[in-house]
Amino acid sequence: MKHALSFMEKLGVMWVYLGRRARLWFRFKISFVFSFIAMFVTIAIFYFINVFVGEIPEYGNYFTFVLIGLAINQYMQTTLNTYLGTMHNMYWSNWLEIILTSPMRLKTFFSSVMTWTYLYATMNVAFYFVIGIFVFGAKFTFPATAWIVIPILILLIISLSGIGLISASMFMLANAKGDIEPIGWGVATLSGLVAGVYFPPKYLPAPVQLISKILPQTYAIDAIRRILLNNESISSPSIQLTIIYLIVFSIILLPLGMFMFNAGIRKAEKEGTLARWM
Amino acid sequence: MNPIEIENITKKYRVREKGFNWKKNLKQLLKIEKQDYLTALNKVSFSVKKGEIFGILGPNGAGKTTLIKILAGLLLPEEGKAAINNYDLIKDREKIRTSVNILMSGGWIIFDYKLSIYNNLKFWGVAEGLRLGEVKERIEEVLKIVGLHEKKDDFPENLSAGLRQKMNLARCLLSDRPVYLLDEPTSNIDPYSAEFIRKFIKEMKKNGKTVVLATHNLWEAEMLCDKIAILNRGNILALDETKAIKERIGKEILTVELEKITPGLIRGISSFGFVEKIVEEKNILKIYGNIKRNMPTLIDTCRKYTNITGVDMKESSLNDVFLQLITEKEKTMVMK
Repeated sequence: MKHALSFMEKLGVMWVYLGRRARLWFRFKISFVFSFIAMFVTIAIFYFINVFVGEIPEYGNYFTFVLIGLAINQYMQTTLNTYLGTMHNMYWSNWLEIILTSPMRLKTFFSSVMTWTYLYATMNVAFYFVIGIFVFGAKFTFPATAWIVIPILILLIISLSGIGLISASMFMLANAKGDIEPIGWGVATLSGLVAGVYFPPKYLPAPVQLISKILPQTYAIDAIRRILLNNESISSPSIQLTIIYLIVFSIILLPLGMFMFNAGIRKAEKEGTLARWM
Repeated sequence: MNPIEIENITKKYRVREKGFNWKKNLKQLLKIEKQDYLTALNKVSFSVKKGEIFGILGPNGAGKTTLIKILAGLLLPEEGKAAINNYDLIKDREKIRTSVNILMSGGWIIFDYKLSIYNNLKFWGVAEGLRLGEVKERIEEVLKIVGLHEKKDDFPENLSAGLRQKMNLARCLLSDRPVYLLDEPTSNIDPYSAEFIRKFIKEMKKNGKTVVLATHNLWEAEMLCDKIAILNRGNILALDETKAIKERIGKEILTVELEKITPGLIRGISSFGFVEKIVEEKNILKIYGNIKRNMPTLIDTCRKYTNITGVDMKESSLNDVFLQLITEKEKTMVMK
């Protein structure tokens, strides 16, 4: 009778989960072929938009600008949507109750799910860059300071995980049992408009720019572009400020997300809504 | 201490209305209006000894699943105390969850239909703490136990409901825990698979496991359970050893169909010392007691008052107790 797993046993869970997802992934080959075609078409659309837009001040070529936005957006959407999506799946398939009665616990399960989704997102990002560079001729210099992108991306993922967890908590707290709940959906949808994924936020009307300033992704996207396109390094004040902002966002949002998520589980334990089928 | 001890457990569910009534919701939020609750369990108390099979019997909506989920630490009661495997229901909820095995009816929905039985079980095996090196061996062991060894590479989508329930049972057996909570484990499956599961439950008892079996299959409960609680609308109507519950209404039942039933006939039959109880239903009399030896006397008594159109004699079963308790208020009962 085991009440909790050791670190190595948790790694074992993660390993088997990744194998399981990979097996399922290979079973649905056609759907993945279609998703890659869709990504190719998206890149092609932006390549032709670039023909009209051309250069944009501060960042240079629009195509390389938007390719970075699309890549970061993969990680953002993954982080914002996966927690709620996983809750949704666990609820409808009775997984939540079975996981709770196993020594694996929810943290290990979510870590496994997130690892898979980030691996998948990384594969998509690699596809964006390979197609962008080798098919459509995007030019990246990848400066020596490019490594700073990784801690910025990690901080962005941590802070957005907080929002993702808040979104997942709404599944239980606000009985948002559909595929969509307002908080996660709002942040994910607004990201496209105001966070600078497709164009710099400075072109937005002033009141809308205010919204962009409360989202951590606005700072992260801008900093990553400055590093990859303008060769800025960690010594740049704007990059340092971005890192500080992201740390602050992470410190506030992640504990808040965890608190709300746990509150959601407690509410479900009281109401008997851990599973769809009683 | 017994592995299961529960005392005055009460569980209420908030009644949800169809659609969204914002006025009512706001009033309830501001505590101006009280919320409507449905009592799923009302002060339920019992204990289960080690190695005992405890049956929870009741019609649909009686509160059986609610009780099973409370025992598994997956649902919090509003009132009452409980200790499962010596863990407190509120404080040690996480330990309770990992010290009981729960098998739900239709629980196979957790399996991915596009993965083989083996690959489905592999994940749940490591989730139970089996090392990568030992998980394969354990899966093969449990598949042999449930008789699915030769089908380990089959996909759940190709299995019958009975085989899926066996697969679910195999998942349950991946970890060795002292208490098994089985919620209608044989419902919606073929008789052959159901019989297999019943035999398996008996084996669990032999191995010293404590089993709580929620069912509405009375025959199954009678055959398997040492002790039974009959539950209806959240209330325990009867709680005793299976044999004692059956004997509550008499050993045998004589059902006599008559042309008419008169007060004189009832008085006449009631006067016999071997008659324990009489139930009147339209023109049918059900006579409970030591009937077998005294049947001629009873038949003669009935003939004195009216014509007999049909006679049936059987030993009383749990089914009779159950029906009697559940529908007690709706029947006219003439007690001796």
